[in-house]
Amino acid sequence: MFHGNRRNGVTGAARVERFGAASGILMLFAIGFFGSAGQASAYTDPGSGVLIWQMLIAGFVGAMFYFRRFTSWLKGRKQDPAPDPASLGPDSEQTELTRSEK
Amino acid sequence: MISFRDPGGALLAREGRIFRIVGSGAPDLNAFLASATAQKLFRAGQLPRTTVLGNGQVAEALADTELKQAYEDLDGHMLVEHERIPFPSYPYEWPPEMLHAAGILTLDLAQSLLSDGLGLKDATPMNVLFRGTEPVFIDLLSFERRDPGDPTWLPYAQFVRTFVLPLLANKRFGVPLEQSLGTRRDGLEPEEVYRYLGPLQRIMPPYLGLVSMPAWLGARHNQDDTAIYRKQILKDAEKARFILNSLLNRMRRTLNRVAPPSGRQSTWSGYMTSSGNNYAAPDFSVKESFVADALREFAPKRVLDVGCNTGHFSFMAARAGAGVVAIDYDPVVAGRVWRGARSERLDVLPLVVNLARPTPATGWRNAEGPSFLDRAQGSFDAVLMLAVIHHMLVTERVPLPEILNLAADLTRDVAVIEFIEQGDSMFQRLTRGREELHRNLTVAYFETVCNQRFEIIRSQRTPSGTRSLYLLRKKGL
Repeated sequence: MFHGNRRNGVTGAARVERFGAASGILMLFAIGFFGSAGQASAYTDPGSGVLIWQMLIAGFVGAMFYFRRFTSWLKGRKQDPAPDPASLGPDSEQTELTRSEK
Repeated sequence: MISFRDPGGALLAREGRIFRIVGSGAPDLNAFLASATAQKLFRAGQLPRTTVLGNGQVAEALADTELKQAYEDLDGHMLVEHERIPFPSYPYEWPPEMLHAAGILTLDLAQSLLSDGLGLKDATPMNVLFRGTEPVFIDLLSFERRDPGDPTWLPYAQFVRTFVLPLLANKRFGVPLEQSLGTRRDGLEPEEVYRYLGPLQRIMPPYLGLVSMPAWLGARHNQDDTAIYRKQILKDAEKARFILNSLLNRMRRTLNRVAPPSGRQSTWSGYMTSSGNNYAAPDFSVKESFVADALREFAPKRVLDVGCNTGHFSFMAARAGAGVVAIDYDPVVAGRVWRGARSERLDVLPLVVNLARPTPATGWRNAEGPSFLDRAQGSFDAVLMLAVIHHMLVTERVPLPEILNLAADLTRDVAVIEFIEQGDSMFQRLTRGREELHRNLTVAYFETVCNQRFEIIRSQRTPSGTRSLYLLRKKGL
């Protein structure tokens, strides 16, 4: 999991998320407020909307990446390490994967 | 063959063993098995116990002609053997709590693998089985090496369709998972959920981002334009990972938002505690000790509890050392059983199944997801039918010999059945003035029917005098 700068109990990722949500609402106005989905009929590609939405969010989060890098640089702060696989479960000596030599 | 859609390999069950033939998926699987995350996941039990077979063992296994044929057809490079999960179950039989847990596991995997340069190529609940209350990610061919510059999570839409929208539709509109995932392999499209929404809901979260925006964008998108499916690769791998991680975090928050609340109520959720319950305290304690004695005497390893309600007797069997499948047709009570068993770490698998209309076979040739009865017959050492057969007799109008025959097909050894007589207030509530239809349901008739397939080991009438408990042993063992 991503751990951003923790200030006032808000992670960097959460701030990015809020920005993303706010941008989403703005974007909503941009593409026409009361749009209509119409009826999904044969030969349409209903999955495309989710993909485009993901790309739009990714675009905004990407912009936040530079903003975040800039603010980190400004504050001379270091970025936190990336996901900690240790959170997956208790450690033990024995592994459940076996490679048979036979 | 259990699975065949993935061109990278296939899963086969042969004589009780589970083999995975790995063809073109071998490099991805090897990369995954070599990763630090895989080792941790195996140790945590979040992946099935797996053995990569050596050359000698492969040759031995391929003595089986069907396995050999499949291995050749798939241009097999590797053969691995997985543990057998005691009772396979499907998302359309889970209470929503279990679908949520399976979704969390899927996101955990997707995020933890990022640091190993790996990712998930699909994200569907069909990749998950439950070992007791715990989800296990079974599809080892879902892992793939990622392009470090790729900021998109390709299975994002599939995750939304098969986890998020079914949970959302269940929570907000009461759409059962059986309906959104049963006959549909690919869950719900945003466009389908959109039709349920009122004008205000459409612009409110979480519907806005999950349903309305994708539906509007999809409707405006030129369907001949396939450019959106082209891979977008960023030069800055750190940025790509930041975006992906943010997307996955966002998805986790969304999934938690559509999780079922813990205090849900239904007709049956208060059955054991409310005044509507027909158990006088002395009746209940007699029943408890009757079941406890039966469990002690026969020490069943696998137990099926039919109509489990609060799971009281399932928990009792699990504490006595059995692996229990607890079924009830009410998803709310099944969800509670899951929460209870999980907090006590008991080996109980709660499923939303009505034994009078058990889960049908699903998928290609009706062979991908076997029916509940196919999986259950002969899989249990003991079957508990406590305070349930009067529902089958009266509400479902199933004749008594049919019910006893099914019990005998399900168990390998014993059955504990509670017979409720016509004088019982619960029985009368169910008959709704049609008592004439059930005149033949006497204790004497019940015992005559039992004797066809079972031997009556002992029976006991409860103090109220309208209920009798029977410990039955299957004949011809």
